[in-house]
Amino acid sequence: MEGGFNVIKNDDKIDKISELPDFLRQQVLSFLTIKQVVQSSLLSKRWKHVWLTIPVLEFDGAYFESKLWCRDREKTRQIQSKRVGLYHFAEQNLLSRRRQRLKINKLTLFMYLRTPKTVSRVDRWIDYSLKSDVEELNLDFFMSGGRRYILPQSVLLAKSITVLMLSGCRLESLCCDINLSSLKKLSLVKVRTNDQIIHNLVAGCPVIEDMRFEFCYGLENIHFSALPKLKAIKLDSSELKMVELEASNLYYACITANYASEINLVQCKNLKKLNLEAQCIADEWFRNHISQLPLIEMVTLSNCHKLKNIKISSHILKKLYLHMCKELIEVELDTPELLKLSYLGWSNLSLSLNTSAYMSEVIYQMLSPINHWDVQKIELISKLSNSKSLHLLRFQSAKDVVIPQELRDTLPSPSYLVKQLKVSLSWPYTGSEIDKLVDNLLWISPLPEVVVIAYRIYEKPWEDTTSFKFSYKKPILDEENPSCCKFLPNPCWRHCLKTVTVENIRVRADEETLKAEKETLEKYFYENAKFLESFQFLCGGVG
Amino acid sequence: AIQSSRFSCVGFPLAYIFLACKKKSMALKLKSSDNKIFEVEELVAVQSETIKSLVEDGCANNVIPLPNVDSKTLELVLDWCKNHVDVKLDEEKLKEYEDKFIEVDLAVLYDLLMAANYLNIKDLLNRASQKVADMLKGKKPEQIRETFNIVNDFSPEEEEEIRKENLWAFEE
Repeated sequence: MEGGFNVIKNDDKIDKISELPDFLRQQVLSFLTIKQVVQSSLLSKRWKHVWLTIPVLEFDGAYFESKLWCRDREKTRQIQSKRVGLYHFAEQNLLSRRRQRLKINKLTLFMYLRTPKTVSRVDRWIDYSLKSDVEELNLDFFMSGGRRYILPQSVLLAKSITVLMLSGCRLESLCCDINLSSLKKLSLVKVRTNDQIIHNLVAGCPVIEDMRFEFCYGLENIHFSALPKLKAIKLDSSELKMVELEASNLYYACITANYASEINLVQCKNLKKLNLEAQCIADEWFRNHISQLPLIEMVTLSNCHKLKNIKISSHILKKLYLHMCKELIEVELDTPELLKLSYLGWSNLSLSLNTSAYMSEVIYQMLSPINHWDVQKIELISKLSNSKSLHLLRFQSAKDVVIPQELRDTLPSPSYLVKQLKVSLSWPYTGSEIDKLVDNLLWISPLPEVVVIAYRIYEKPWEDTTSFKFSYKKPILDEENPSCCKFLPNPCWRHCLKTVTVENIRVRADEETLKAEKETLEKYFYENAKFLESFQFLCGGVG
Repeated sequence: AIQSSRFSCVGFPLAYIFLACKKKSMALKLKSSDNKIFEVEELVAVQSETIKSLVEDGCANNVIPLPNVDSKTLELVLDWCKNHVDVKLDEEKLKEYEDKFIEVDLAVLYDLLMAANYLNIKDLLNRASQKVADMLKGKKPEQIRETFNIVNDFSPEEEEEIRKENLWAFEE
């Protein structure tokens, strides 16, 4: 079925949404902006009061800031008065909830704290929400001159809070014990603090499951222990010097600590997903950790420049990402269950892979020199090709895909087992290059089901793609050992291709270009595949 | 120790029930409002907090009646539960499943909302609410009324009154 609300049938013309109980309508409204929530009072009498007790409140004061300082004075004045309206509304709404002891499930404040008056206003709102037993508190503040909002101590004593997310705040030296006895999720982003405070804070959260500390200032040494409920942790800071975790049920750890000198995770026996970016990780460290973390399923190593040789032997490992580890030259994998492998690096990698694993997806992002084909690179691709799909990224243009004839004549096609081959180019190919491009891709992968050529328009979310779907019949050979497949276990596409369907989903190709391409490709395929029965060329893109 | 002594005090009958409950943990029978019986694994069914508490209270020995959910909706809900029982499922695949699951007619969506609420299945309730919210997002009250067939029963004066109360939310 097609997505989007326009196609959803609502023929019966009955207003069913208004018949839903108040709390269900509130549940729906809680996914909308506060402005739209308030607007719902205008729908009909049955909606007039529903929103008043909605349990999720999000005040986005910063929304007005960006529009505030335009040249038009009259407009500026209007926006200012709107902001005053929002503040007044928030104040009244929170106050009346406190008075009625109405619970708040979630309060989000996203504000630019320009004046002391706004700061004390925010203090007050937080206080109201605590008295309404707020469960989720999400504070995202910005102040000028690098100042930070000082979090009221009372927040760290709130037994009702289960989720606490702070951004742009400051945790002052604490005069009281912290007691967040229900807190499950804690996120601190751009928070100024120190080691002592963070350790006190974590000690006061006995049921914490998920912790995130990102770009926090003053946090250098982390040693967390005795956190039996902790499942996920994310640490990202260039100030981190030491990270030591002892959490028996930790499932996911994502650590970006480029300047740390020590990281120790060996006590996290249940770790399944590990994402690391750290300079201090060396071969010894990795060997030690991998051998002591028996349940690990997914490993991502990025920018670990000390790693040279890694060896993994595991029946559990399913996904491995090796990205930009500059010195990495040898990878030895005995991982029969491996499904996904992604490598971003140079072609000097020596890879040995247990061949019993037929992976579902391999991604190879080549680093420069990308336009240079040699034996080494083709051999690496060959080793990466024990997979259903192979994605080769970072070719500049179609020319870079073209492999010198002497290599094609002397080496076997590297990706014989690959069923889906995708290549991504930085520049769109030109019409005269298409047959050569296809010819080289079909040399790399000589018997594919699908070949996709993609070109991503700079910084846009979509890709232009030309995809080829192939079907085959039993190979018909008119000579004993044809030169095109002398190294292959079975004949290549030239002897068994039955149908080709080309699909174009391209924004930037006009009709004439497509027509010329169609002719070129049709000629190419009929000339090379002797038993081709049909060739189809479809254009799905916007002309 | 306290529990076992309690069993031994009461003797055979309670212990028998206890054993019976244990045996039942394999499969549960659910009855929809239109009297259709669904046999499901306990692990699947207890994603509903409502059913879970019934099971824990030992009230799930026979067929569990669910008088607020019709068979068509229950089938969908159970499909959702089956796909959420295995937490090891790939996150991407789960999201793909959810997106496809929720692509239904508005009437079905309402039924799912009501069922998710009655059965207390939090993630389904959230996903269904989110879907309805997506249909409201960015629309003016007039457009929302049109999409959902809501009849405006305010007089112009009443409408003006509401706008005035929160002028900041209504002006462009």
